[in-house]
Amino acid sequence: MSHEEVLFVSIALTVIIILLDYFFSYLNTNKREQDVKNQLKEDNEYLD
Amino acid sequence: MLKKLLQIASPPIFFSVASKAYIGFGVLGLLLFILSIAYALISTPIDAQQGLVYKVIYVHVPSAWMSMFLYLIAAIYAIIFWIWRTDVSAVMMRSVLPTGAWMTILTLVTGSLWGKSTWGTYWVWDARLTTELLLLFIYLGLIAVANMIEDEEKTDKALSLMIVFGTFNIPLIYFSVIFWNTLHQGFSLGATSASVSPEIKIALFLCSASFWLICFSIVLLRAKGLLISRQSTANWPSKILGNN
Repeated sequence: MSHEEVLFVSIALTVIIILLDYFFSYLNTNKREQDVKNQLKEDNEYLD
Repeated sequence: MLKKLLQIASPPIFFSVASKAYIGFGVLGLLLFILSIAYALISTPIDAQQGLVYKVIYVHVPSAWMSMFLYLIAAIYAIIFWIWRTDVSAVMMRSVLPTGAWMTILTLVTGSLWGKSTWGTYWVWDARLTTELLLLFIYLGLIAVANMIEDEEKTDKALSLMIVFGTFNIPLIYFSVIFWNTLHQGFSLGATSASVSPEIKIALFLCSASFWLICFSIVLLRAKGLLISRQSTANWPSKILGNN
């Protein structure tokens, strides 16, 4: 690989890894919050 | 000061702070990343021996620093967990691990690419490279343990102990270039480093700051998810989620 290609691949990989990490963290957190919301809704319905 | 720190250890306060901080850190970090990479590519000089390829340093070095620093953060939270057994410390200890693993992968891959251009090979069993690879295996092992056992309390105890034991590798990575005769260059910055132009120092500092902000943003985002599912039976999630 040429120097320019090495540099491009390294920066592109950094961006991809950061975005992937964000994406999976967001999905995971969103799912957990949704689960808690659903649980709370079920509990409220049960109490009613 | 201590009172404020103790307040942060309260799950609802931590959740509220993390919910706002992760957005701020994330936006600031991504903007700084774009600006610092642009500055590094345009304004820093080209190395007389290595040419343009040395500019990999602006992603390789910050990711390497973060891979070690995040492990130390996990270790600090592991110790706090052992002393006070708070949910926030357990959650932070777990949240740091995946981002630390990603940073280690990034360090190894960008280092390999840089190595191929300058050393003529993607990999050598050099002390610095081998200890960094060991760090990746430690991270992967800890992530596996964190997700393996159903009982969270038992897992936290085992995990915190394992994280603290794994800390031995961090000084080995950092000082490997002194302890052993390695192919890897010495410290990039610091007392024993060669003189570096101010533009390179500024660019490296800005890139590192952007990595800090981005990594902490991701860690806080992950932590708030883990915390709310852990505390789902407490009173505060209904109040906070009910308002959203």
